[in-house]
Amino acid sequence: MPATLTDGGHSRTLSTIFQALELPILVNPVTLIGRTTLNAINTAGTLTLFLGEALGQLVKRPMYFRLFLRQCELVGVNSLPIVLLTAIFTGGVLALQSFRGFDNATIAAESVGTVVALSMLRELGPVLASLMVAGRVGASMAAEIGTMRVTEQIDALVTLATNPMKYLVLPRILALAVMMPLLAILANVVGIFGGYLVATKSLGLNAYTYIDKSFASVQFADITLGLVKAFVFGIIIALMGCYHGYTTRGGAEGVGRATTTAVVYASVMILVTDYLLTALMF
Amino acid sequence: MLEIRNLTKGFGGRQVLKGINLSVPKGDSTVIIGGSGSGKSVLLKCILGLLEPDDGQVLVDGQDTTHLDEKTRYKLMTRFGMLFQNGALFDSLSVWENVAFGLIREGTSESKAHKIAVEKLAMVGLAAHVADQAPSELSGGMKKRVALARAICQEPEIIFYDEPTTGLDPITSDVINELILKLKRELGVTSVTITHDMTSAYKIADHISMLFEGQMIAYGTVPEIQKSDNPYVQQFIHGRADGPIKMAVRAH
Repeated sequence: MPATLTDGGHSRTLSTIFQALELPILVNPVTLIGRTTLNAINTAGTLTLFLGEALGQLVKRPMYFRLFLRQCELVGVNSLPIVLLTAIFTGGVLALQSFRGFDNATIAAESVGTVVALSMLRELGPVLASLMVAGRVGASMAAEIGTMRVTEQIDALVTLATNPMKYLVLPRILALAVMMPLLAILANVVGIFGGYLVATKSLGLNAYTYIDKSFASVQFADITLGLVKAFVFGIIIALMGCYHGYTTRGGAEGVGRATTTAVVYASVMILVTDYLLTALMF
Repeated sequence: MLEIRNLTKGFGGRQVLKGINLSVPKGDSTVIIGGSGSGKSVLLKCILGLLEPDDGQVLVDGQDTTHLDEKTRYKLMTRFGMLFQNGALFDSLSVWENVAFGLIREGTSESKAHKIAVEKLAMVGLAAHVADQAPSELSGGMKKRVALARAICQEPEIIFYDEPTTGLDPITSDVINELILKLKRELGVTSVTITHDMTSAYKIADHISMLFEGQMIAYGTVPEIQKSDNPYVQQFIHGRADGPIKMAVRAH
């Protein structure tokens, strides 16, 4: 007789079902869910404290303005090529794909511009730019700070009466919070331009209609939504890079682990936060 | 001037320091010896405030420093100098910026800080042209010297040396030992050194203290330690494989 899920009217617990089916279970699923939830809450709390401690340094002297500018250059200016390259191709592919979606050429001519502009501004500009920056900058922050941790450079900062949160972490968080929206603006412009190029040169759409419809459909709120996203994503990237670097343990292997974790967590958090912000501000 | 009272520190149930007591008089050079894993580094980090002790006190001029607020802690740090085992030089900065790090942070002008950095480099026997090099271009011994120059740049009252001669050839080790003695002579600093290099310990120490499994098992002047009848001390200072101290990895 096959194993049934109910026995004498009593539901079995999940683990007895596993046992009845002779499935190999390593951890009780309920324990696993509980442990994961506790870990997630714990991490969220630790990250909030870390961010709070860094931002708390804003009100204390001295200010390392030069370090902030240097970080702006490293995370912003130096990320431009990769961000703009991503943006122009995204805009182009959006135009191609959305054109294919309309079976009527007249509607397509009127709508491709709108689709490209709104998608770039509200979604793809900030998200793709942030994902590229997470890979480039988040990783390098985690690796640099992580190496400083394992080679005792962070301890050395403390013995030289310098607060590492203020010297290392705060300038990076501020720089990304400022530079990420600026990068998103440029990504938007270049992405829309990429869509325009494909639409007019390759698909043969009317340039005037394309631009006219693009501008007519965009509202101020679309732009601000994208910029708010980019601002939040910037903080997420810096926080993940700095936190995982700062808490690195165990030599070169630890630095490698911190780097990977920083990029993966930043990317996942960007996508989740993207959904939450869109749902909130839709 | 530096006094440690009943200091304890554990990590996840494992007790690393089990009630350390140590007194370092002003101008004294105290060397703490002990094998790997005896808790030397943890002790040093607790004294410096890089780790928070579980219990006990670290007194500097009679003031407890274990529960200081951030501002007071960083102020106290300016009285300390620390030479890290591998130098811990900031590799994003040039040699002179490393040496003058504290000065620049305090607002000293760059030209003045550069001048002072070159003077400090000269004190540790490095030529002026080294000042503009990157730490990655230097040899191990030179890195240690630069780190030493950085540690003394703001004229600290107490210098901590974390294994100052480990990983250096015997001649370079002796150069570093001479430098430590010179700093003591010329600047009159108090110093605490952790090491397992007995040649170095005999040379620079006024007092030697031995740490074993988180406890201070011996304290005395160099001749007192050499004549100690404590079998643990005897085994360690003569570097014998056989004796009461059992290492985790044995030759056989």
